Amino acid sequence: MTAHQARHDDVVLDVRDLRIRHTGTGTDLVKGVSLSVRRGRVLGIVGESGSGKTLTCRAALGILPRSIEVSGGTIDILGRRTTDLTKRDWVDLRGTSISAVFQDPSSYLNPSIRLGKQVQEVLRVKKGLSRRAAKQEALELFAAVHLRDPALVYEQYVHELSGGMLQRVLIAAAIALKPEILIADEATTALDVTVQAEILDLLAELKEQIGLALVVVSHDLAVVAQLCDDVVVMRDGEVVEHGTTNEVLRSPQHAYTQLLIAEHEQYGLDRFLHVKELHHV
Amino acid sequence: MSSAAPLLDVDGVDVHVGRGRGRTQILRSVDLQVRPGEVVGLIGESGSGKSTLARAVLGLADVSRGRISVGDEEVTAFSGSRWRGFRRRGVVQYVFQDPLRSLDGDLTVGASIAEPLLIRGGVPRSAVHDAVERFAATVQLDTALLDRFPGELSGGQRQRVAIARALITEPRLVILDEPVSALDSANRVQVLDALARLRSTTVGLLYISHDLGSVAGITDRTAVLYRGCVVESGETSALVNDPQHPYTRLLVGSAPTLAGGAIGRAERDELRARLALHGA
Amino acid sequence: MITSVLRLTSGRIAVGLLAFIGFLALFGQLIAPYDPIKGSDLQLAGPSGSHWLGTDYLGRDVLSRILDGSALSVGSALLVAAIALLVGALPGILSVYLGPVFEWLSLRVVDTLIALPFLVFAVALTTLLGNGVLQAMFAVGLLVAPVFYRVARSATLSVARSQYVEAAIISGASTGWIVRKHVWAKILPPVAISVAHTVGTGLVVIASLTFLNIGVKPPAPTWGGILASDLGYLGFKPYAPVFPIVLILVAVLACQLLADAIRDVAGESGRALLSGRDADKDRSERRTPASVES
Repeated sequence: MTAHQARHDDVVLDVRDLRIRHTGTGTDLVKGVSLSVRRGRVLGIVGESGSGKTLTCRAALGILPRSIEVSGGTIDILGRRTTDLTKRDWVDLRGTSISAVFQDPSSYLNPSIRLGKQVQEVLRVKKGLSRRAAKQEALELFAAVHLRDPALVYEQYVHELSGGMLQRVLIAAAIALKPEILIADEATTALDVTVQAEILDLLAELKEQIGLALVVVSHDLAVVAQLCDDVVVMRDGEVVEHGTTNEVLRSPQHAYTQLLIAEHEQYGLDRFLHVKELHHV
Repeated sequence: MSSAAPLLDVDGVDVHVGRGRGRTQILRSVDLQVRPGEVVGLIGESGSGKSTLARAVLGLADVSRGRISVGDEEVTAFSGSRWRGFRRRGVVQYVFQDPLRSLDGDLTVGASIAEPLLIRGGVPRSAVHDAVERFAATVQLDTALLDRFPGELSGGQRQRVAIARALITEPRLVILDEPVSALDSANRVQVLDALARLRSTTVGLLYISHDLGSVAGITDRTAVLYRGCVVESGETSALVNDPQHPYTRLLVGSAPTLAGGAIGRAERDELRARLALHGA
Repeated sequence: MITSVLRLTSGRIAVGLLAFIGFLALFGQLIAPYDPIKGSDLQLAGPSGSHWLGTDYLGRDVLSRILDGSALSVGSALLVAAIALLVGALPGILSVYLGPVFEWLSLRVVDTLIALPFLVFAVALTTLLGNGVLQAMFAVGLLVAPVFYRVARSATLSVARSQYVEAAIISGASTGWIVRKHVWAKILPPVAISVAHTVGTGLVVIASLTFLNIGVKPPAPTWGGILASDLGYLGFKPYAPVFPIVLILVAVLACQLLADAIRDVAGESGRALLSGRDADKDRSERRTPASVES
C-alpha cells in the first residue's frame, strides 16, 4: 500500500465540489464545496446562517429537505459514494457509520416518552437487542456521556432536564451504534458558556476514547478553535478558506476570516487573556 | 469619574417569586453599582437571576428586601403612579435581547423609535422628528430605513433601532440584556461598535450577558452572578486574568477563545466537581 | 385596512358583491315593481317581461318578494354580528385589563354558552322570548358571541404579553396608550374576519329559520320563506328555487371572500404579500412595453 493510498484510506468523509440547489426557485445554495474528514481528526466548519454549512452536513446525512437537492459533486462516506445509495442503504448507514447532533436538543426528543426508552428504541431497532440488553447498554451510554445519575435520567422526561443534559442524551443516542463520523451542527450554540465547554470537552473525550472523526459546525470561530485540527470557513455557499487551525488563525487569507478574527480580538476574551500556556483540547 | 455618586445603587436586594409553597428566591443579597460614564457587566448563565435583576431595577419585579436607587431616588419605594411618572422622564431605559420581538411589527421603525418621546408627551411633532433622525444617526442607522417595518430590516439594524429607541429620552442609565446574542458576527460587531461610541458620554450602561467574550470586550467593571448571588466583582481585566471564585474561574476557563482554552480540560473538571456541577 | 383589501382581486369582488347586496337591502323595498304581498290571478307564471322572475303560487311577483325580503335577511345577519361584537368581543378585550375577577367570570359565562347545543338552543330561546325575528337573531348572536370573545381575548392577550408592550410600559405608557397604539391594530383583523364569517353564518341561519317558518309571521316575504314555498311547487316550476338560492349563496360567498381577503392583507405577511405583488408588477412592466397586451 502506497503512502498516498494509506492517507486516502484514512479519509472517512470526502466531499468534492458539492453543489446543492433549491428545486423550486433554481437558486444555488451550495456552490462547489470540497472538504474532507480524516479518521481521528476533528474538522471545524465555520459560517453564518446562509453560508450553506448546515445544508452540506444534511447532504452528508441524506436528509436534505424536500425542495432542496444535490445538483452536482460527490460525497463519499467511508469510501461509499452516496449517489449509489438507495433509501434502504441510507437507513443502514445512518447511526452506524455517520451520525449527528443538532442545535436545539429538546426538539429532537419526544416530550411524552421517557428518555431512556427513546435511546433503548434506537438500540432495539438498529442492533436487534432484547429489551433488557438494550436498557443495559443505554445506561452504559448515559454513564459514558457523564450524566450523573443514569438510572434516574433513564426514567425522566424531556421537560425535567436542562439543555446541557438533553444534549448529552442526544450524544448518547448518536454514538450508540458506534459510528465512525459524528457531526455536531451548532450543538452548543443554545447552551450556556460553562455547559458549552462541558459538551465540547465530552466530544473531545469521545474522540479519544472511541476514535470518532468529528465535524464541529459553528458560527463561532473560537468554538472551532477549541476543538478542531482543521478548519473550513464557508460563506454564501462557498469555501473561502481552509487549512489547519493554526494556519487559518495565524495567517488568514480571506477578508471574511480576517473579519471573524478581528471581532474576537476586539470584542472577545482574546483581548484580555495573558495565557501562560495554551491548552488545545 | 469614580468619585461621582452612583447612577444605580442596588443594595442588599432579595427577590422572590411565587406564593406559599411555590415561593422561590431568585436573588440573594445582591449589591451592584453603576457610575456615570461607566460600563458595568453582569455575567450570569440561565437560572442565575440576571434578567430578574434588570426587571427589579425597572420596577417590573418586586423586591422583597433591600433598596434600589437610581440617581438620588429610591425606586423600590415607588407606587404605581410614581413609577409611571418616573418612567416618562426616561431616566432608565432597556434594550431587549430579541429585537424582532421587542419591536411592534405593525409600526414603522421610526414610529417605534419615537414612541418613548410620544408617551412622555408635550413634545412638538417637529422636535420628535428631529430627535428620531438624530438618534438614528447616533447608531448609524440610515434615515431611509425609518419608514420601513422591522420585518424588512436585518437583525443588526433592528437591534440598533432598539438602541435608538432606548436613547431618545436621553436616559442616564441604559440596561442591555443580551443585546448581541441573537445576532450573527457582522451584525454583532455593528452593534458593539454603536455601544462603544456611547462610552464617551455620561450615560451609564449595565451590560447583561452570559457571553464572557462580549462582556469582557466592552465593560470597565463586571459582576458575576451565580444562582442569585454576586460571587465576584471588580475590574473586568482583573476578573478575567485573575479570577478568584471557582465559578468565575470555570467561566473564564470555559469561554472559547482563538488562543485555545485558558485552562485545560482537567482543571475544568476539577472546578465543576467543586461546584457540584458535573453531569448537571 | 379597507384600501389594502381593495388591492386584492378577491377583495374587490367581495366588496362589490356586498355593496350590491347592501343596495338591495337598503332600497329593495323602494324599487320593487309590485306589492310583494298582493296576490294576483297569474299564478306560477314563468319569467316574462312584466314579471322578471315570474310569480308564485298566489300570483305574487317573485322579484318584488325577494327585493322586499332583502332588508330582513341582511339586517338580521348584521344584527347577529352586532350582538356578538357587543356581548363577545368587548368583554374579550376587557377581560385582559379589568382584573382577575372579571376575567374568571367572563370565561365561565363563555364556557357555558359554548357548551349549549346551537340550533336547539336557538329554537328554544325563540320559543321563550317570542316568535319574532328579533328574538331569534338575538339568540343566535348570543350563541356566536363566545367565538368573538375568544378571538378578541387571545389577540389582546398576545399583544398584552408581548415585549414591545413591555418596552412601552418601561417608557411609562398607560393602559390606554397601549390599547390605542398597539392592541387596536392587532385585534382589528381577527375581529373583522369573525364579523365577516358571522354575517355569512347569520344569513344562513336566518334563511334556515325562515325556511322552517320560525320567527317570522307570514305573509311577510323572506328569502328562506320564498325558497320553502318554491320547493312546495317544484313540480310546476322546477327552476324556481334557483333565484333565492343563488342570492343566498352569493351573499354568503361574498362574506367568506371578504374574510379571506382581510386575513390575506393583515399584518406583516399581508404587507409582504402586497409589496411582493407590487414588485412583480414593476418587474413585468419594465420588461414588457406598454403597447403589448398581456
